[in-house]
Amino acid sequence: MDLTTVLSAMGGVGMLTFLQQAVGLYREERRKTSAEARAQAAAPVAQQSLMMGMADQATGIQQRAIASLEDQLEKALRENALLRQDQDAKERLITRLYIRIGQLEDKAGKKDP
Amino acid sequence: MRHLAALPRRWRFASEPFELFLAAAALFSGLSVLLGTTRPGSLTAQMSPVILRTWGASLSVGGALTIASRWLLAGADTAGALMRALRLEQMGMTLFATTAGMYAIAIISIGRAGLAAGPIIIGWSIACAVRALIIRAERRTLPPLDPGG
Repeated sequence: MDLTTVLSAMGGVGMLTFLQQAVGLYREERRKTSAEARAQAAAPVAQQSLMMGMADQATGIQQRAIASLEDQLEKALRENALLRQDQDAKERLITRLYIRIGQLEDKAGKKDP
Repeated sequence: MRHLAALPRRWRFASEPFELFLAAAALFSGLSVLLGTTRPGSLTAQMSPVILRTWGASLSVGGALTIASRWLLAGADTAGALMRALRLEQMGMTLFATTAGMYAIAIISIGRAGLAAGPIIIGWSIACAVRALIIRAERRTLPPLDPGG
């Protein structure tokens, strides 16, 4: 093997190593650029998801508040109904008492001379 | 690379003076061979004109890449910028190691007259190869890149 071949082979190996490193740099830069592009493209979607999540959360809070109000209203109505039943019962009792008093007065009046 | 951060910004570019000034010299020498201004006798005796010009181009590209990498290293403020600068420096060192090695063999092949310059050029070639290996090891210790880095 003559010296020219040795030098050419040496230069070839160096060139190949250099090209391999250049390709590595190119790939790294491209990966970085595509990662940046992906991040930029994903930003509006992420923002929208966040907004939707917040809206969902707000809707959930609202629904829980409505459910709580419904419970309170139902309880109030039930208590009111019970009170009304009590009131009716009292009125019926008073009426019966008045009737009874009337009957007793009539009876007493008949006994008087 | 840790010592670079401690240096004032204007000194970071020349923080490796051997590398920087040899790169400037290589850029000048490589361009002169590439453009045909000069023809080193030892190389002309062993190489075809095409390979000789390729050698000159490699030497000048190596010099330019090394100077550019030193410039980028001086201003690197993110991991991504540091990684890019290190890769460029590694590429420059690879070209230097190759071209200097070829030159050293060609010089030594002329006989005893080549014993004066040959070892210096061999030393430069080995130093550049070792520097390229050190950069490779150094890059592996860096954290992975973030998209914004």
